[in-house]
Amino acid sequence: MYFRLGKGFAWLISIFCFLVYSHGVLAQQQETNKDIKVQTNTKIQFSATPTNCVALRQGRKCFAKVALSWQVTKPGDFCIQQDKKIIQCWKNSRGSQVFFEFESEQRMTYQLVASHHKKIIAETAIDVSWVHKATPRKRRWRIF
Amino acid sequence: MFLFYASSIFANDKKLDKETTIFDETFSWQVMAGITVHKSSTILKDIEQDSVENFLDLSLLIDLYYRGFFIQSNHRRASSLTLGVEFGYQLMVNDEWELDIINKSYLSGYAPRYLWANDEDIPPLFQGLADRDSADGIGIRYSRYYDNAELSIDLATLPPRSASGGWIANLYYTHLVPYRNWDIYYGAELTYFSHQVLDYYIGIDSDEALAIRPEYQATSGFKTQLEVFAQHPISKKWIFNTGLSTSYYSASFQDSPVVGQSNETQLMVGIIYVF
Repeated sequence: MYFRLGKGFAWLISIFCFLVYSHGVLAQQQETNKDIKVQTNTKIQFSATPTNCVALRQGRKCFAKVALSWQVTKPGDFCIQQDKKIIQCWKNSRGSQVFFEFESEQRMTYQLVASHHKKIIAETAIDVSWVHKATPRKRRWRIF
Repeated sequence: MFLFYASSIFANDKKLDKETTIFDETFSWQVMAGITVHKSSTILKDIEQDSVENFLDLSLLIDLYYRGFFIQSNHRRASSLTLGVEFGYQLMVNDEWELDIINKSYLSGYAPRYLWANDEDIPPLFQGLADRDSADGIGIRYSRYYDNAELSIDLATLPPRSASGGWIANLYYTHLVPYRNWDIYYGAELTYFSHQVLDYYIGIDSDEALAIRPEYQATSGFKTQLEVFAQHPISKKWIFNTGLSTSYYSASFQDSPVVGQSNETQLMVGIIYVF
């Protein structure tokens, strides 16, 4: 009942499914490329998961549960920092993972630091993107 | 096909992306396509959702602005499926308030031949009942904007846009509560319908009257609606949305022979692709 819908409905469903599928494949490819980018150094691996946080609107704080993972070939003392603020340190370790709540309206970069000589040995980042661009107007209900 | 056609047209104008006042000559647009699964009830008697198509809805949502003229979809409302787009012109605009000429549909129409797949399925109550077109009104809208809320008042006349006579007053308030990556909108609406409007939609004329469908002349009435609607980004191009709305219709609706209940509820879950 309700409304008669012709064969056009099936066509629209097919088109929509194709769009969903094609976008999913594309997004997966982009994600893979990002992983490769942060893991170019074969001796030190330092990566963030996820690498991107999506907010509804530009300028809005983005929230995500993220994991930073690192791995090195030779054990040592290491710290992860962000803007010179220590997030976590490990002693005599070859690798570990730290989980935390990401909360930012812009890209954040994280560094893996060798504690003894305070040298940054690897870097990774979490990008912030959005669905809608920021509007010049105060109100939020219309796109414009 | 229309979906692809529309997106390619608008993509050509993508650089024209901002405007600030009605005197600017910039052009702004947003096109989205959505698929929604919804469970809806209606005040009309004998109508049930009984096939897959009744639960699914595909929509093309267009927001467009040019020199004060605008088209806007109700993509931040749970009842966007039935409301359609609004056309308008901004008469006066500033950060706190706005005055528009507005053209929109305030009430869905109904026609037995579209409500049931086959003519033989039409229940006796609706057989021989004339089509009711949707209540498209043209009027004035005053909107007041707050930090996280909007209040709007519409005063609209149905003639000459609709087959029905009469007028409609609509008061709508919505409040946005951002929570993490969610946008949660709480809304309340009160709509007043003059007696001509209700008589056209749920009144029964003498030539439509039957033993099970006696003649009925409606008086003026109102509808209240409460809703909650939430959106969450899935990716840069996809948004998840869900909403629940419940409406109550006054006695002049309930007294009509074709009306079976005073409440309508709609629950929807969907995804939107942003072009």
